[in-house]
Amino acid sequence: MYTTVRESQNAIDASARLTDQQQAGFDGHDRAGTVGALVPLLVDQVMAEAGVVEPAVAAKAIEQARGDVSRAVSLLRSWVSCLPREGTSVVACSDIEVERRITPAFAEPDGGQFLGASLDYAPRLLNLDVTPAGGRASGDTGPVAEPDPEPLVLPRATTRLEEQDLIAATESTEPVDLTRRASAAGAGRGAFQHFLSRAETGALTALAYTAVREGPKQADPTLVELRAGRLPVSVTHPRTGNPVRVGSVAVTTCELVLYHVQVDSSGEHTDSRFTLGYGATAGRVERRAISAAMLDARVTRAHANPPGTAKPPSDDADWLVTALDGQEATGFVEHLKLAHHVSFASDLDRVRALGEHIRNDEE
Amino acid sequence: MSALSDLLHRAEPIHISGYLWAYLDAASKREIRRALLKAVCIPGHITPFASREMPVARGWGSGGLQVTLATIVASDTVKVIDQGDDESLNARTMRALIADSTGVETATDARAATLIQTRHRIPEDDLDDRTVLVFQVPISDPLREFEQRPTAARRMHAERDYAVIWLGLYEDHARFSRSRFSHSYPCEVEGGYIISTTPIPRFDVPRLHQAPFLSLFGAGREAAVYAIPPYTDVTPITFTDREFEIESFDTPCAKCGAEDSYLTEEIVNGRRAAVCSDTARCRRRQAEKGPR
Repeated sequence: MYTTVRESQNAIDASARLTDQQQAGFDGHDRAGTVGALVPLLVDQVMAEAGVVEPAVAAKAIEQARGDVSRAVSLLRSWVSCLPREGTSVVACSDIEVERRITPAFAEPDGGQFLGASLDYAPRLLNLDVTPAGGRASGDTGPVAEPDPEPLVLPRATTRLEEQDLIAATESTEPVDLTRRASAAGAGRGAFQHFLSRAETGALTALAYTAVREGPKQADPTLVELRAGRLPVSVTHPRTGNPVRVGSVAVTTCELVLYHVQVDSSGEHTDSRFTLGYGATAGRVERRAISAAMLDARVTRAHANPPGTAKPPSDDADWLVTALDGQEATGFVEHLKLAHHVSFASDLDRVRALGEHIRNDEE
Repeated sequence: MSALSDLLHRAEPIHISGYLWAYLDAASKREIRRALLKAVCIPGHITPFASREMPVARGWGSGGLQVTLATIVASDTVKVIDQGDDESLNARTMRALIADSTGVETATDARAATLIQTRHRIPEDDLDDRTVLVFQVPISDPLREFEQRPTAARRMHAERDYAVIWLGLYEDHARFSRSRFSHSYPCEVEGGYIISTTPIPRFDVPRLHQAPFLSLFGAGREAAVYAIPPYTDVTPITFTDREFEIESFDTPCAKCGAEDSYLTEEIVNGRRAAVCSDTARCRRRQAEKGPR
C-alpha cells in the first residue's frame, strides 16, 4: 500500500490511482453512486468543519444542502448539537495508523516516507470524456496494492528536533470541547486547537497564506511532517473498565516549525530555537492541517513576544477566533438579507441630524 | 419540496419527529438556564454560555431562539416579531419552530403574550410583569466598536472601564453637537455595566428603564446572554448637559394615525408613507377607529 516518495513516475501514478479507491472516511460500506463516493474530499471538508465524523450523514447533509458546504455544515452541527455526549476518549496523534507520511524537512526520517494516496503530483488536466461517477479518467483502474495487514505506526519526525532541544517550549494542550464552552477567546491552546480543527477551510488557508507570504525575514516556516491515516478510538468499557477499540477516524495532522530568533524587550536575543506549530483535521483535506499548524505556530510565537508587539491577524488568537468559524461568518454575513428597516430608520434619523449640523456649520 | 410552505401555512402545530419538546436536550437547557440565572443576578453582565448550533443560521436569531426554548413552559403564549412585524418571514419561521416543537399558544397581541421573542423592536403596548421579552442580539458588546479583542473587552467590563465610549461620545458632541449612535444605544444598567441595547432604536430605550417585564438578551453566534431584571434602572449614557435624543417623526402613522409610534416607510395606496413598525398595535388601532 505504501510507496516511498523517491520513486519516480510509477509512484505518482499509483498515488493518484489510490485516491480513486479511497472513499470519504471509509467505513466498509459500499456507497457507489452516492455523494460520498462522488466527492469524498467534499464530505471530508464538511465533516471537518462541522467537527462531526459521520460520513453517511455528512453525505446526506451535502445532498440536502444542494452542495452548499456552509449549509451542510450547519445541518450536521445542529443535528449533533443536541445529541448527548455519551463518552470521551483521549487519543494520541502518534497512534495514527499511517497511510501517508511525508517529511519535507528530512529526506530520510526514522520510519521512512510514504506517498500514499495523493493527487499532488498528478497533472491537472481536465478530462472531457464522460467517465463513470467517482472515477478519474485513467486507463489503468486495477488495484494499486493489497492493503497492508499490519497497521503502520511511526514516531513523530519532530522528535529528532526535540531531542536536540531545538524546539522552544509550547503551552501544553489539554483537550477542550468547544461545543460545550462559550468561547475560544482566551481559553488556551487546547481550545484554539479545537477551534482551528473546525475552522472554515478557505478562511484558514487565506490566513495561513498571509503568514507564509511574509517571507523568510519574518518567520521562515518549514513543514516537518504531514501524516494522514486512521486514528484508533477507544472508550472505557462500562463494566470491565478496560479500554475497548470502537473504531477509527480518518485524520490528517501536520507539524511545522518557524525559524526566527526571539528578541526580548531589551533587544537581547533570548531564544534561537524553532517554534513548533501543530494542526489536525478530520479527513484528508491536507491544507486544513497545514494552515492550522501555521496559525498555531504564529500564535505561539507571538505569545513569546514582548507585550505590546504589533500582531498581524495571523498571529492574533483573538482575531482568528472571531473570524475563522464558517458558521459564524456565513450566518452573520447572510443575515444582512433579513429586514433592517427599523434600525435603518434610526440610522437615517442620525444622518439627517448630522447633515443638518454640517450644513449649519458651513453657513 | 413543500416543507417550508407547510411550515408557514400549517393549521395545527406539526410534531417535529426525532426532536425533543422545545427542541433542546436537557443538558443544553440546563446550560442556557444557568447562564440566564447568572445574567439576571448580575444585571447587564455579558454572561458566556456554550451556545448550541440551532436549526437556523448563526446570526439569524439562534441566540434568541435558544433563550426562548430554554425558558418556555407549556402554559406560555408566544409572540414573535421582526422589525415589529409578526408576519415577516423570519418571525413566521421562528414562531413556527417554537410552536411546532412545543405546541404552545401563539398570539400577535403583545398584551396576551407571556413570552415575546423580538428582533429590533419592543412592542409598543404596555407590557406587565407576566411578560418575558427575549431579544435577538447581533453584537452583544457595546465596547466592540472601540475594542475588537474579546479578551481585552472582557477586562474593560470587569473594571467598568468605559472611558473609550465616553470619549467617543465626547468627540461626537465636540464635532457634531450630537451623538452619532443610532440604534443599539449604550446604556448603563443599575449604575454598573454598560450594555448594548441590541439593534432596537433609541425610541425604545426609555421603555427598558424600570420596566415591569424581564428582558433577556441572547447572542448565539457570540455565545453570550445578558439580562435586565424587572424594575431596573436603565440609563442611556449621555453627558448631564446633553439630552438623550430619540428618533423623531414629523408625520403621524398613515394607517392608524398614531403620533406616538415608531414609523418606517411603506407604500400605502400607491404612495410612500410613514407607518407604524408595530403592525399588531397599528392594526388594532385601525379597527378601533372603524372604516374610514
